[in-house]
Amino acid sequence: MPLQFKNLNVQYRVSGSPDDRATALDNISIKINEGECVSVVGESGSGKSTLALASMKLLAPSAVMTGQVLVGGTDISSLSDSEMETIRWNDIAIVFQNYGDVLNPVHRIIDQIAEPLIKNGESRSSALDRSRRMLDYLKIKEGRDVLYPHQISAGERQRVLMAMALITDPGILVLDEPVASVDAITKSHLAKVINEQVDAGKAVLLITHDLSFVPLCSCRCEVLYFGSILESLPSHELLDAPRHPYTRALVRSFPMMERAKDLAGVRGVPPSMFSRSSERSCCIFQPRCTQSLGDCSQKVPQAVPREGAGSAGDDCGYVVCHRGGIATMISVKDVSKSYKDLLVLSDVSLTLDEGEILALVGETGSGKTTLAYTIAGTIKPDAGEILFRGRSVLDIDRKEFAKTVGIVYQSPRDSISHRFTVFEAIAEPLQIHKEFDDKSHGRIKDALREVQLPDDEYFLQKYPHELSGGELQRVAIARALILAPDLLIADESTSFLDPSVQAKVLRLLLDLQNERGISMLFVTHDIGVARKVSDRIAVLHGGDIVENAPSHRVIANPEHPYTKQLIGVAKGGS
Amino acid sequence: MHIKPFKDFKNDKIGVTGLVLILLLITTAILAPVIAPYDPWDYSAPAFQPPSGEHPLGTNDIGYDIYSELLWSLRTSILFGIAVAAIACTIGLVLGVSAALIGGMYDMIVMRIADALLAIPTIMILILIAAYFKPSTIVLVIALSLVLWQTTARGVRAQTLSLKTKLYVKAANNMGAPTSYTMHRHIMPELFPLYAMGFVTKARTAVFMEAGLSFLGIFDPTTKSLGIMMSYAMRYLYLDVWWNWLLPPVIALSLLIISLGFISYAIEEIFDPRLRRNNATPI
Repeated sequence: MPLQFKNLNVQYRVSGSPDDRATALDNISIKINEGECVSVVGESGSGKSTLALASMKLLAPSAVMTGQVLVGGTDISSLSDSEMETIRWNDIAIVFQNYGDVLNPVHRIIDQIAEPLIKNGESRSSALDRSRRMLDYLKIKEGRDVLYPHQISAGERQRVLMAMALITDPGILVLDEPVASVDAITKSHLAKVINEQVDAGKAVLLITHDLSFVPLCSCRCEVLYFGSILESLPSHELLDAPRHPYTRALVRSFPMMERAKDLAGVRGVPPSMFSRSSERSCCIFQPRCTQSLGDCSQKVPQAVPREGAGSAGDDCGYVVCHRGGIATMISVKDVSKSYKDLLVLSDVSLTLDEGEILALVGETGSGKTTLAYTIAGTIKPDAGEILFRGRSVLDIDRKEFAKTVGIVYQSPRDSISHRFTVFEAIAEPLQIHKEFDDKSHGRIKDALREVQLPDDEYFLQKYPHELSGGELQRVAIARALILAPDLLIADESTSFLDPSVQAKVLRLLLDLQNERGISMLFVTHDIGVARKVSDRIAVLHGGDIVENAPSHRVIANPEHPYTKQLIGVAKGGS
Repeated sequence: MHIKPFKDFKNDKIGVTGLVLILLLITTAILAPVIAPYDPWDYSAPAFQPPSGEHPLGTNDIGYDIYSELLWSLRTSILFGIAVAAIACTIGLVLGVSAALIGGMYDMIVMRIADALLAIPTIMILILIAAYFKPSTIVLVIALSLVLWQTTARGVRAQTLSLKTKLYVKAANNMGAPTSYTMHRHIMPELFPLYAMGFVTKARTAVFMEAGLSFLGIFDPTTKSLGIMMSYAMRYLYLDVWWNWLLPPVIALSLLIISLGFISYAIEEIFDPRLRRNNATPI
């Protein structure tokens, strides 16, 4: 039995908000066929649970619903409560989010599972027998069926809820966070159960914030943000090839087993749904997006077909973004560079996405610094071209382009003049770009606070030799970020620092990158550091890029012998 | 390493002694028209008067007041030193920086000229020029400047070349800074010790050379200078006037040269970390 949402809008009546309405779901259309599982992911407050409740017509009285919810072809929005009674549990069942109070505390769990069967006229003994088998199917130990809800664990309660939904064998299953409170072993068992139900021809709507669970049992995934779907994609691409900045941010926040990069939440704060009026005129994700342009705050984006990783012709879903999903910031095309007879870069091609951290790894002399400065526009390539947001770097005014690129160098002692005070050092970019004015003092203090340094007058007048290496590198970071660049190049920025200071500076760089949503090029010889900070690693060897893939894949399955050697040596081998 | 030159200079006893001395001498020279009791170009008393209340250092062979002559001569010597030092340093700075920044053929030509000047003894050139042309003071200032710029130029060029490769200069370039900005914010201030040093040493050389040339008589005889005073005094040594006529200009010249020497010694010590007595500054 298929489940379909057609242009579903749900608003809650709230006093005090604009037009006294708070939008929970905005024009949602999802179709789930028989034998198909569709998952919905998103932060809390994105409207996931409202969608689950809407499918059962269980919304609170204050909710106003327009659009259609089709359960096996019947629009339930026009059904009366008694008509709904016949559909609920028989045609469509829901597994509620597992809070302490969803089960009746005064009945044994087995009785609660058998209740709908007995209501439907089945004999008590056969109903209890079937319930017992259902509990067994969900791997709940024998003898626990006669306990009360408060006597069993949260993971078991979750499975009891699942059993209650499955016992009537409905055609549609709605699962609201079914794995939020279960351990990994049980989770994999539940995935098996869900897959079996899908294979049996059920339509399953899976609502979850556990991103690793999505590819295990669903074929399609809808990314819900603040009541709107931002991306619809095949589930197996969710973790590896998200195309919307929001989906990518969500994936980055999720602790994946194989991923070593430090977690970072989605930048900014989620908007309050009470602030959202029903009429909107911009992309809702724009304030938190890493790649917003002028259009993003002016127009509502339309869904565009998604470029998927699969073969042409496959339905790869859609993405709702003015820029067609994650955009490329820098693309390096066949760049070559040599110093006299020494070939440093030969036909290097590379891309850097908006909001991405790319690590350039290689031994000294592999050309990584040359490549980084070629991208920064300070070294002219002999051949090939570099595009910045589609324009050739050489066509952009040198001074103008310098504003969009911040560089943090290896040694802060050398990169900051010994004659400059902290204040003068951070003010330098402002002076160069003639932006030094009355407000600069405040700006510099803000920048210092941002890099976790004191901002008092005494500190502002300190000279580099009075600061430690870590403090000075923070000053260098503040200097690199004062003009709010779009790209930050960190050229071996932490290799001079001791492990503790390095860890703190790396943490700071990552936080700032995430908070500002800028792209970062992280040049390092240390693949161990690259693994911790980058989304993608490009390995340079003898002027060639020999490997370029998501960091966890490079580390887990290096393809080129040189990469294997690098990783082997980093692990302490020879 | 960061240096606070003025604070360090204040703590340097030799430097402060030199500075106090030179300031005294300069003040005296500036005030010469006011404090000189007589016109040094006019007859004021009979010749060869011994020192007295009216003439503190007596009078010379044609009845001029020696004390007044000394004050005016000091004025000439100091002016001469400052003028030569300023011109030579400016030439050296401009040629050195431009050679480093432009490079190529220009750099090579400038540096070969500097090498040639270093190899040829300048005093010989000057004696020849002076002997042949009997130049005026201004011409001599220019001539001396033209043969004294080479050391500054070489030092400035080397320092600029090294500064150009400093990471903080490159960082400023990467931030989009034009050459004018890096010149005035980074390169010029870093060159300060070089031209401070150059200025003092060149002033010293110039004062010394002027005295030498005058002593040899190759100088405009109508001007008053310490060298000329000595030269005339030497002629009447047999009259036992050495202590009131020869000694005062010798002492004045020595004080001038010693004070400049003290200052240059202090500057060198401040800016060259290897010469610092207290090496415990953090690196």
